[in-house]
Amino acid sequence: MQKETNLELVRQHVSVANGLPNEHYIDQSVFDEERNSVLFNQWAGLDVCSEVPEIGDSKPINFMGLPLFIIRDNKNIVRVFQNTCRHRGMILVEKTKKIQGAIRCPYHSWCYSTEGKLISTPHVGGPGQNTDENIDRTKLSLVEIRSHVWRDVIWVNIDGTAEPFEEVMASTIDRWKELDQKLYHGGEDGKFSLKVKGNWKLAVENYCESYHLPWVHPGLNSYSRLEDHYHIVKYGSHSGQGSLVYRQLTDDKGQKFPDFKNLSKKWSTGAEYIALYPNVLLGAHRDHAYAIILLPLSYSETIENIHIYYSQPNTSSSLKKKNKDQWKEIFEEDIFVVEGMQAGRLGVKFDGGRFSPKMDEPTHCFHDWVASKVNDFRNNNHQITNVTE
Amino acid sequence: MSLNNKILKAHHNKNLSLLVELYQEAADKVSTRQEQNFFRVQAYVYALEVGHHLTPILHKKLVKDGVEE
Ligand code: FES
Ligand SMILES: [Fe+2]
Repeated sequence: MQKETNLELVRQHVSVANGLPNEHYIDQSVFDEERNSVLFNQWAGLDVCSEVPEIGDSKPINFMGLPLFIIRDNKNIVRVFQNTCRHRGMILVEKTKKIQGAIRCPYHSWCYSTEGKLISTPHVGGPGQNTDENIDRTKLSLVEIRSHVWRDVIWVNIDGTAEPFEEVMASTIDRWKELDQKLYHGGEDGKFSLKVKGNWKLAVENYCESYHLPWVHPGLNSYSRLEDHYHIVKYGSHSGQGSLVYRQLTDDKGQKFPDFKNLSKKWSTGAEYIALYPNVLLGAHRDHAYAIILLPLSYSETIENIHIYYSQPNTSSSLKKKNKDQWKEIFEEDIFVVEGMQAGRLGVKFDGGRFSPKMDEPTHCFHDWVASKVNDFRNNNHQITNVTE
Repeated sequence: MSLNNKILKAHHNKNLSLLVELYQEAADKVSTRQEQNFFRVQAYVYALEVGHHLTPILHKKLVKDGVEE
């Protein structure tokens, strides 16, 4: 049965609010409700375009139980489709692969173009006959999922009801306008994945705030002290933190990554880390950027896919590796907190917790957003369904 | 090796370009129009999958015979 959690306290001012109730982390029905109310009806991050670098590259992705695949079509456009054949519902793309010509269903070989059009239906009218008067191919294209690309991230609006991406994300896009430059993925030295035993929201919450730095990342804190951080809070949109003391990585020969072009002065020692709701965590610096896409596996398990980007192709591979290792260490330091907070929410008398009015506004900003979206969903009497076209 | 065995082997090895050729060969060997089209469709489907250069020609033939659109 659907549990209806009380979200009134969450939406109070940060100084008096409680966090989201336990059920938002440990209850299947609330997880399902959030799937429809804060993920499928918003612009959620799915993957990055660099995962399908060449025409024809395709990759299956399971997004909260929904089988999807991404593909770079013949016209070089990255598209997202439901990974289900229009004939008998077979999975079409079972593993990452290059589509040379058409996507052939492994069951009865119906063939789709990389743009999703049904282009052949072998023997559908009997042996040797590929047509049938009742099979109208134009009505049997693959189901395409609404998508948008920004900063190499493929964002999807599964239920098709969200306002256009540029409108929804306007304030973040505007904030980082000068960073809107071509990004070069670091390749194998620029990606890694972590699996955490925690609800996806805990990864967002932990990412938003700098309060934990002195204890969880003591190494980081030696040059990036708490007082050198500022909050980024935009209620209804995003939150995070900025640093005033970013130091560029150097290798043994004193080499650094090349900078992005024409950045304002604040970026010479500045860095910003923004959680773009619901599930993408972004980082930006003068010389590199990254995106973390959170894929919820269940209410208590999440995959974090991390992708690092540079201002130019072919930057030093040893430096890229060093950078990747450094970030990996930091993100791994956060795992025990996410898992610990997950375990802590089995404490039935936990009331969602309190926020430090001074330190936790970015976290509250996220809770407030989740609560408002869940409330909207309930008020509009939406039903929890799987996917709607 | 018989054509049949060659086809089985090509399936086993997932050699799709070879399947395009072998199924065409099979189409040339049978007598009725239906059998011909059956094998030609097989060739056509694998040609589509691999983006074979003969795809347009196969397509044209099938359309001409009224079995493809
Ligand atoms: S299920 Fe895909 S062709 Fe039959
Ligand atoms: Fe952290």
